[in-house]
Amino acid sequence: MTVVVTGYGVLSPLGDTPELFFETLCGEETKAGPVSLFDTEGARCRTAVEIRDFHPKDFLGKKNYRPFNRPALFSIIAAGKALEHAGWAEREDKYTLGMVLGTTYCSVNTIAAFDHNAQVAGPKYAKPMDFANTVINAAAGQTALWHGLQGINSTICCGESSGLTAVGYATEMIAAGRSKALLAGGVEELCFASFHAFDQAGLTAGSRDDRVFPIPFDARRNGFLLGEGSAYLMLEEAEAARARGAHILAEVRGYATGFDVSRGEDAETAIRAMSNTMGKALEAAEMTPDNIDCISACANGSLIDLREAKALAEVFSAKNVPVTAPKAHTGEALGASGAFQALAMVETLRSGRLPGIPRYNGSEEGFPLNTVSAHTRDVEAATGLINGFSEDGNCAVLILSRPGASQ
Amino acid sequence: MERVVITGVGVVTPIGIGAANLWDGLMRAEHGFAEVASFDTSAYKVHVGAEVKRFRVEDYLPDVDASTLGRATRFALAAGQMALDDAGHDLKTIDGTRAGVVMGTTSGEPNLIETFNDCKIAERLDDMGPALARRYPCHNIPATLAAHYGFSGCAPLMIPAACAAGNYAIAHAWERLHSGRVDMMLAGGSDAFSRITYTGFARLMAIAPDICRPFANNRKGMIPGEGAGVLVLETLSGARARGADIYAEITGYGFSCDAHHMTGGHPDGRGAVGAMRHALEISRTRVEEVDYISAHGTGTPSNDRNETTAVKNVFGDRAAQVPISSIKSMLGHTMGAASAIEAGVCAMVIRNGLIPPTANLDEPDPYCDLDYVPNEPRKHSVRVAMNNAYAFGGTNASLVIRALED
Repeated sequence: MTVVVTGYGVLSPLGDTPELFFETLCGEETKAGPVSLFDTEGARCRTAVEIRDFHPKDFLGKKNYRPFNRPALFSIIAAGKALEHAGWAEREDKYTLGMVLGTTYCSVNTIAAFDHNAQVAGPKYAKPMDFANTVINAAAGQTALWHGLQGINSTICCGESSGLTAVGYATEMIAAGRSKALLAGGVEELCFASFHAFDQAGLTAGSRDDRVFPIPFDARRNGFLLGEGSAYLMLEEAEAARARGAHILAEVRGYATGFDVSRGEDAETAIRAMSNTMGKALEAAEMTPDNIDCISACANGSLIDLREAKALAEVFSAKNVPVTAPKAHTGEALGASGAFQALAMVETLRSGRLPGIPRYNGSEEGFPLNTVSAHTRDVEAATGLINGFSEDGNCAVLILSRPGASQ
Repeated sequence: MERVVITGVGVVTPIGIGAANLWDGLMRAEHGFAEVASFDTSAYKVHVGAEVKRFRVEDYLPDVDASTLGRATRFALAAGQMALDDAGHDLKTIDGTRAGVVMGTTSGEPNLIETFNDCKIAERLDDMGPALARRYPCHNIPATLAAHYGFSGCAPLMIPAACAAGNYAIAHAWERLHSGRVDMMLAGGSDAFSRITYTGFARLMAIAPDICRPFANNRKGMIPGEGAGVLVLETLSGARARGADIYAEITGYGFSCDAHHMTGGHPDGRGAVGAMRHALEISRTRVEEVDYISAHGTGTPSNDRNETTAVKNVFGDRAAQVPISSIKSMLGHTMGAASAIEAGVCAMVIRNGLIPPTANLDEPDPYCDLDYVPNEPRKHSVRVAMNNAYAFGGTNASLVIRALED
């Protein structure tokens, strides 16, 4: 059974339409800047890729937004755009739809604030309305509630690969006949709790020294910047999509997950898990590395970008496949990252443009990858491969093709 | 397509650790309600919880360094080990590249957020270190199990579907096994008692002051609990090849979303009906075949009434003839672990031919007029059990668990 992409929607620091998002991704300008959402005084890293001046009424009209938190609103807005774009928004059978949402932290900010109120002022100052949003599936619940989606409602957590895994999970559910159509994507918000933790862990750019070089694969890279936002793809069973006259944007060809049992402690097993997962996804797509025309890496400017480069070199050794890394622009948006990458890949397949990595100025000596470019390139791409690897060992790989490529 | 069977059950619960101890507790209608010990409840109007007592993960996994693990992770590890032992698995013979882990939870490791706030209030936030990046994200629970056992057949997923999470996780494992992608999965749910969860339910006025009385006219709410349930699920062919003792077969599941309210169910049980019907459909099971329903049965006024309405809607004239019980009357609400523990109990019900009671049911609610197996366990041969779970976010999941037949 073939699963196709029939629509998409995005809310991100790069833009709030797929066109704007992709234009920014193909440009040189960075959307990173000083954090405005919370005080970063005392933190070593003070930069992030934030959605600035976010007002839900700009997207959803004037309503009472008190019952919603930031990630839920991101998700509601991006999901609404995907439903609209796919032509589902006004359909009478919209209620049969379900959704799968990847996230790493979802509500951590709400949970922390809820508990903080109770501790500082007493339990009766913890707001019952906020409690509904303290569950980790709150954004998925609020999104289904807002849009009236009564089907499958799964939240998927596996770290930085959550968004891509959500797309894969939804694909498998449709292929198994559990649903004709599912929204699949990711969400994450920038908040103090996670920002502080990554700063303490020394993983964000500038948290170990004064330089800020969150440039994937670049020799000077010294960590990532946190990002935020939400993106969804509308996935449908191909026959059903055609029958309702849907516009088909791309086909999902293969998907696989894997795991490094050392949880990132051992570089060799981490690289093997990545290359094995790429191999399994190619196998699922009934493809060889020769079929892959471009690659969206999950590299985010961390030192361990080297591992992904080694895994790519291992799998694609015989072929110079152009590689991009969208986190150069989006930052590490955790649960939303994979959804951003998937959306960008759909645009690459449609436009033949592969975004560059601004400020990329070469990798360290002996680096196993030489198909990265600072500049946006024209590519002849029928099929693209997307990597989603978490720092602690979770692997997901998704392969997308232009529509009709499988026939 | 592969058939999927349950070969091992591991549980950590407020009334007993290990499947046999839990079963004994259920048959004696014991309960796990007591004054909350893990934090001070003097500022609250309610004081009772269902905490797991005298639990040390080292008793089950002597090599584990507990100091690096959150409480929900410890519960999950112990339950996973007990499930593997129960299944008679020799770890040396398991092909880790064909095995995986999927878990469910409501809150993951909320105790770490409590520590974060304590540090913040004491103005020593740097003491917190990177724990919220390293140990808090809830996927750490299944990843810790997968790393411990070397299971790399798929990414260890956390499906945090709140109080239906255990069923969501088991259903995902079922799909992976059914499609032949893996041979064996550990699947279940885990949650730790936390002041955050307790505060939330207290503020919703949902906590009973004394005991939990599902379906009773004098029910006063749920009681927050904690624990873990993990099942060993295998393909039937794999289980038979190694001569495993099989509890039961999982034949299908159903998911749905009310899309009605974040914390309250739909009054007609709309989503609950959908989940039960999908589960019956996938498992090609007729309504007449179901002979036990493991209820979500939290003991809140609205849940028990909505759930009764939903069961009547699906089962029609037969609704009153199907025994239904809520073990939350004894365990309290173990959150994301609840439906996983209850799935394990369904497997034991099928094996033992006995149904656990709904305890504390002396005064029937006129609106809840089905057979809830009040107060005493009942001898009853069960071939097909339906395991129901409903959650915040309006999400619902039902499983169909069957005695193994050729």
